[in-house]
Amino acid sequence: MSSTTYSQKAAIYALLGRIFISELDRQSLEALQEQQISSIFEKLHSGSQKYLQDTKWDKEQIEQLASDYCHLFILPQKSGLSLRASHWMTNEESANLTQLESIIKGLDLDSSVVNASLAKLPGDHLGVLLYFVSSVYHSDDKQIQKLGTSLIQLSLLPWILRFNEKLLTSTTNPLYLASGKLLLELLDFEGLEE
Amino acid sequence: MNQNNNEQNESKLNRRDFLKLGGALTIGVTTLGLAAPLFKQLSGEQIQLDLDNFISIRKKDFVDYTRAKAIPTICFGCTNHCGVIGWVQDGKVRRIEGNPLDPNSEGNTCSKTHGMISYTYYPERLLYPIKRVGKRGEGKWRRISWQEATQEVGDRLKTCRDSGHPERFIFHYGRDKTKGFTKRFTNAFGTPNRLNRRAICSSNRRVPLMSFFGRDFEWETQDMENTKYILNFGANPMEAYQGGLFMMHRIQKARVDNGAKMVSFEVRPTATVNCSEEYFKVMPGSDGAIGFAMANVIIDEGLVDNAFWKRWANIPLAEIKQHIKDWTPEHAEKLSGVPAKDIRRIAIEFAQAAPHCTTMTARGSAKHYNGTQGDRGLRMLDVLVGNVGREGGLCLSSGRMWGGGKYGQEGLPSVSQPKPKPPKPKAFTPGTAAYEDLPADIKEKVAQLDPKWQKKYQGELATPAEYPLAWHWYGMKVGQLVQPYIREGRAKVDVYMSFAYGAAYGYPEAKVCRDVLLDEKLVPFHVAIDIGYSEHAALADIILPEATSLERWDPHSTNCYGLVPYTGIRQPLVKPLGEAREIQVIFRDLARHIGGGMEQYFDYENVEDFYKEWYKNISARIPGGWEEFKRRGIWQDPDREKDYELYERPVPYEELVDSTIDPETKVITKLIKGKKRSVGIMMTDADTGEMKPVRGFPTPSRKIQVYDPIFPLAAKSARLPEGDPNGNALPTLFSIPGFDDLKEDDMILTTFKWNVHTQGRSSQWKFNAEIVHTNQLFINPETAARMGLKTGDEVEVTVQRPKGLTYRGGIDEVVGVVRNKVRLLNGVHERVICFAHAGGHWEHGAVARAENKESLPIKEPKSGLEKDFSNDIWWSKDQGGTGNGATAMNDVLPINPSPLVGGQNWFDNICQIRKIS
Repeated sequence: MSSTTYSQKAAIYALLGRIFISELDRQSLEALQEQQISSIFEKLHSGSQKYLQDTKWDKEQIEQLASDYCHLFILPQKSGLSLRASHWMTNEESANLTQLESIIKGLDLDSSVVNASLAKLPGDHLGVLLYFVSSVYHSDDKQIQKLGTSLIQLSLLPWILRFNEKLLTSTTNPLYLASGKLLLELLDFEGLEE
Repeated sequence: MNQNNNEQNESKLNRRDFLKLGGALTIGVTTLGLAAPLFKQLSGEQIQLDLDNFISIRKKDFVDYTRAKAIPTICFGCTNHCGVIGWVQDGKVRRIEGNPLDPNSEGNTCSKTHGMISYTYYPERLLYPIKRVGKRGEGKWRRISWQEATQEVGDRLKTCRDSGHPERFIFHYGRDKTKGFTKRFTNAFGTPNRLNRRAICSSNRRVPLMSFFGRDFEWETQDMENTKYILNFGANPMEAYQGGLFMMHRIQKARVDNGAKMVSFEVRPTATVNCSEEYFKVMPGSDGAIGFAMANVIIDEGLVDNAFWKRWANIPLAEIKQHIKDWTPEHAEKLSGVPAKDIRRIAIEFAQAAPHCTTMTARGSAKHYNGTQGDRGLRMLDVLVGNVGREGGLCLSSGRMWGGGKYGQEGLPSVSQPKPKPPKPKAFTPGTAAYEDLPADIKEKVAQLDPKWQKKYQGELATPAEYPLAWHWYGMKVGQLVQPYIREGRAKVDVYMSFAYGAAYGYPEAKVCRDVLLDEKLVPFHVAIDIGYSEHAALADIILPEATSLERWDPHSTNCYGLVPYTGIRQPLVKPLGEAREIQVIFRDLARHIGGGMEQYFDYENVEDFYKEWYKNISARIPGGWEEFKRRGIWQDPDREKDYELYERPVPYEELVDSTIDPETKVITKLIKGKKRSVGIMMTDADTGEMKPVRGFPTPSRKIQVYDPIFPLAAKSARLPEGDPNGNALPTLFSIPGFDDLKEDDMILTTFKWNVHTQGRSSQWKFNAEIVHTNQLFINPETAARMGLKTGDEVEVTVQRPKGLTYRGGIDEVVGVVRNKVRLLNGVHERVICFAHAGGHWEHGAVARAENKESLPIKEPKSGLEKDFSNDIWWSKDQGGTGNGATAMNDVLPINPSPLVGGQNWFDNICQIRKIS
């Protein structure tokens, strides 16, 4: 695979990392309104392009989206689902995760481009893991790029399918539904690449 | 990935779509705020090294001791607070074991210790401040920043404080082991309403101890390892008891090495019962009757330690003999069911073992309408046989935080909060804004109080007028009345702050609490500080995520069952997860926001510096100082003698300077900080016959107050009818209202704590929930047969509202109805049904609710990879298990504070059972 492809995949992982790591702000939502991006979302979940483009994204709408995020991903409510891998993986798998968390935390994050909350998140948070894969793919070093596959296999594949299944039944929010499907398809795409 | 037959797995994107999306994003990512994080110093060699290590980790070796670091701290799994050592690897606590330096636990631990790992790392833990965006209780929230949270909560508090009514800030906590740190905040704020849950827990049993032996001895410290005879009235140290883990191995040592005998009087076969040489099923609330009967036997048989009684009891033996003469073993047999001959035999055995014998009481004996007076009767047994403070007996340990010349703590380094310390909130006296704000009928009640209590009165929440003994010795309060009193307008609220508190689930008639918290007129603003999303926090306006005990500092001290005082330090093993913060940081920032002088008491940046100052006198005693203290986690003076017979120790010369001796009582008093205080008593020296100044007991008479005039004074103040037995100055036997005329089918509903749980607060700890996750209704097989019940049958339990002269949460005769499944158990009293009060959570996450993936399409996991946190909850109903127990039962348990004291009478519930399947 060419470096160009790696850097393009890195960008998609970063996009998903941003979507799952915390509530979206106006700047991020305006980025998602861009035609080429929103049309892909539309392919994944019908109505998501209209949702992204037609919504005014004023304070009230952004707060509504933040409330959806909180309800879905922060609170342990019946209709909520955790973004943390340790929620979904077995203890044995989680032992690996802990090691991975330590690697991530041991690396020096450039806080100038990273959401400030990233550094405080648990290392098994989906957003952190996606950002980490993105970072690995961003590298020009082929050896590092290949490690991306290992990271995905160890930290994402064991649970993302089930995460998505529950996401489907937990929300009607088009953005998060499309994002979940995008993640699933991206991982499928990774499999095809192999 | 796409082998599962799901709609979502039909690919909708092709390679071109990905390239298109990636391309679009690559062009604009940085400017659009979607950039990936960049890792500085990211070299191929470095990451390869880390990943090799990662991939090759031996999966079953959870802790690699060549890399893990051991850090001591203090457990917070239950009320024992054992010294423990946490093994930290890769920035995570991986294992916890006992700290052998802890003189109480001596290195032992229990499952609740490991629960700390569960509650720190459970993936549904609340990690961010959140604010509600829907109606209160609706469950709609959004994440907010700490800045926004501090601003909003701080503004509310500042407005309240600036209004001149700081008492309208209510701080209501569950288990607060900050040793006064939160009080520093409420005192600095100026509110007396730092409310606890002591009445729920143990005030009925603390009052007899403080009345008899003094404020400093609210908890008993039996010298278990040297005893030869234990009379256990409703205590369960082998499972759930404050100090239980410290006692259990000492009890076993005494039984095995000393041939000690334990006799238990209980309503059900506990683990402690199973370790006893003899067990007697007793009717709930009849322990006192057995105690008075035994006292009669000990007196009649001439087994009283007359020298001890004469020297230290504050009433002649003849008066006690006359007072209790009718409460014979035969009378006790009628009330308790224990044969009179056994009561006689055991009383004699107990007295003959003196002083190597001790009583042990707890909720089983005390949490009744007659429990305070009953426990006074049981305490009297120790005084009669003279085991108090003696080897193998009922000892008194000088265990609380050291400082300010507290009783028995001579020679110990002072351990106290850094200065400056805020002043205590002022009393509500006529003319103060707080007093004038009281409703007229409350002012009338206050006017009826004895002047000594009028001077201390601080409103109905902190100092309820009808329960003066809840705040006579110190502020035990009456926690179960807080919400009902707010409902009735007895106190006004501007800001209600709950701290690790679960009344909305776990208190009696918990629905009353929920109704009040949902009423925004009664509670305009509720901020909850907690580590999880509890039923109580769910009714807040803002929730602030707190650091767990593995992530924060606390001082530690408690009574020592080895009888040599010690102290320890809870220290963070890891940084708080997510955006959780230590309470010390939350309060520091709030105090600075509120300002107005509050900030001066929180003048620290680094929390460790604050505790380093707190412990500076300990550090000074240890070679290596603070760092060495942290490394050990525990400090104890190895040369200090045991706390035997503290009352016989001489009063130091410097304390006698400027003192006076009362010619009649011989009590030595002196002015300390402007107040006349007793410091000792003149007693005859056994060897020389001369009068000498000794400590005595820290009571008004400096003797053991078997006769205590505080009871009739409290009864008069609370306007109990004259002659009401609750107000008797002498220990007194009387029946629980309604128990004398039980109908044939009436049963008594009692509750209990599971050994691996900490009431209802541990239901989300997966480690512990996996072990116990039910709360079936236990019943005696004979009773069950009479009712046609067998194990597994579902029954409906109807709980009647109790009678008696105390507050009632409602007027309906029936408090509520709850369903549960029956389990037959030999050894349960024939009149008793019992079930654990922890179960039936509706918040706190998947483990507490025992949910599986109810909404997921995949019902049968296809591979190991499909197991997950939820699937591992094999006891969920989806998996064919029992679920998370029966319906939460606390709604049907009546609010039932003991007269004068306010301790919740948990075990006085008359009920009826009906089979429904």
